[in-house]
Amino acid sequence: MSLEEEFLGKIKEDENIIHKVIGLYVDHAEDRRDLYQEILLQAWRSFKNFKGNSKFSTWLYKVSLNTVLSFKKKERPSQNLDDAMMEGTRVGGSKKENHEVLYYLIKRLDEVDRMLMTLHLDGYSNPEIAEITGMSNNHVGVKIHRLKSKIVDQFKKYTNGYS
Amino acid sequence: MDIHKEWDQLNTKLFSNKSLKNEEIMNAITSQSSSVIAKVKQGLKIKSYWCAGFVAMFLALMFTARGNMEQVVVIAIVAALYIVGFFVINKASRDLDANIKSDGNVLSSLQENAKLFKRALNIEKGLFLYTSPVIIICSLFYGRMERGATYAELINDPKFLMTIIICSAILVPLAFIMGKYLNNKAFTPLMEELDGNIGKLQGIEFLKEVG
Repeated sequence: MSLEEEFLGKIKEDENIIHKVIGLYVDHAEDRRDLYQEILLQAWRSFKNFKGNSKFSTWLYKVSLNTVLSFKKKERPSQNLDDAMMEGTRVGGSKKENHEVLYYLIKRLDEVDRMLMTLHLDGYSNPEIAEITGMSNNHVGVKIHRLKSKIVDQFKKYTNGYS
Repeated sequence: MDIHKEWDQLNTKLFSNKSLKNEEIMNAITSQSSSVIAKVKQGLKIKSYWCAGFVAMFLALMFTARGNMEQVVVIAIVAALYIVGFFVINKASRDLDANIKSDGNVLSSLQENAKLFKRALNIEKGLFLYTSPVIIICSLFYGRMERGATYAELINDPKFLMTIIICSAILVPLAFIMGKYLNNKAFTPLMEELDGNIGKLQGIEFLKEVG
C-alpha cells in the first residue's frame, strides 16, 4: 500500500475529528473551507513522521488543533448565530435539545478551555491531555474540574426556564 | 445532566458524517498552504524578487553613468545594499517554515509559530531601518550629480547636507511608522491571540488565580 493510500484510509477513518475541531472553532463557511484544506495539508506533510507511537486519532487531533489555533480568521462583522439561537431558547423560542445547549456552552468557552473540555469529553485521560496540549498534568486536572462545574451550572441556568 | 452522554449524542448528530472524498483529500494535500506562515513566506519571497529587480535596474544605471565615476560609486552602494537585502530576505523566506512541526504538542507548536511571525516581522523592520536612510542619501546625491555637481562640492555644501538631514529625519520615521502600522493591522490580532493562548497553556493566568 502506498503512503498516499495509507493516509487516505486513515484520514477517512477519523475524519470526524477534523469535522469536530472545525465545527467547534470556526463559524464562517469560507474559513471552514480553508481550514479543511489546511488541516489535510498539514497532516499530509507530517504524516511521514507518524510512527504509530500514539493512536492515529490522537495524532490527527494534535495536527487539527495546532492548525486551527494558528489560523488567521478573516475579519468580518461579528455575527453570533449561536447567541441568537440560545436567546430564542430562553425567551419563548422552541426548546433546544440538551446536546445543542451543551454545544453552545462549549463554543462559548475560550479557545484553550474549549480544547481541554472537548479532549476530556472525548475520553482522553488527564496525562494524555497534558501530552497533547503541553500543559502540566496538575494544571489540566484542576482546569477540567472547574470547567465541568461551570458547564453544568450554566446548563442548569439555560434549561431552568423549561423545568 | 450527564454531559458525557450529551456529548456522545452531539458527536453522533453533528460530527459523525463521512463526507470527505478521496479526490478532495488529494486536492488539499497538493494545494498551496493558506496558513499565515505560508503567506508571510510568500510575502518575503516577493520582496526578494523586488530586490533582484532593483539590482538589475541599478546595474543598468551604472552602465549608463559609467563616464562619471562618482555617480557609479553612489549607485554601487545602493546596489550592494539591495544585493545583501536579496540574500537576507531569500534565506529568511526559505528557512521560515523549515522547523514547523504540526504534530508536536499544542503549546510548543504555538510558541514556534509566534517565534516565526516575530522573526519575519523583525527581518522586514530591520532591513528597512538600515537601508532606507542610505537609499534616501544616495538618491539625493545621485539627483544632484545628474545636474552636474561633484561629490566634493556636495559634501562641502551646508544647504545640501541640511537637506539630507531634514529628509532623513522626516521620511525615515514616517515610512517606519507607516510600515509598522500596516504590519500591526495585519498581524497584531493573531499575535495577541497566540500570546494569550500560550499564556493560558503555560498556566500563567492559572498561577495568578491561585497565587
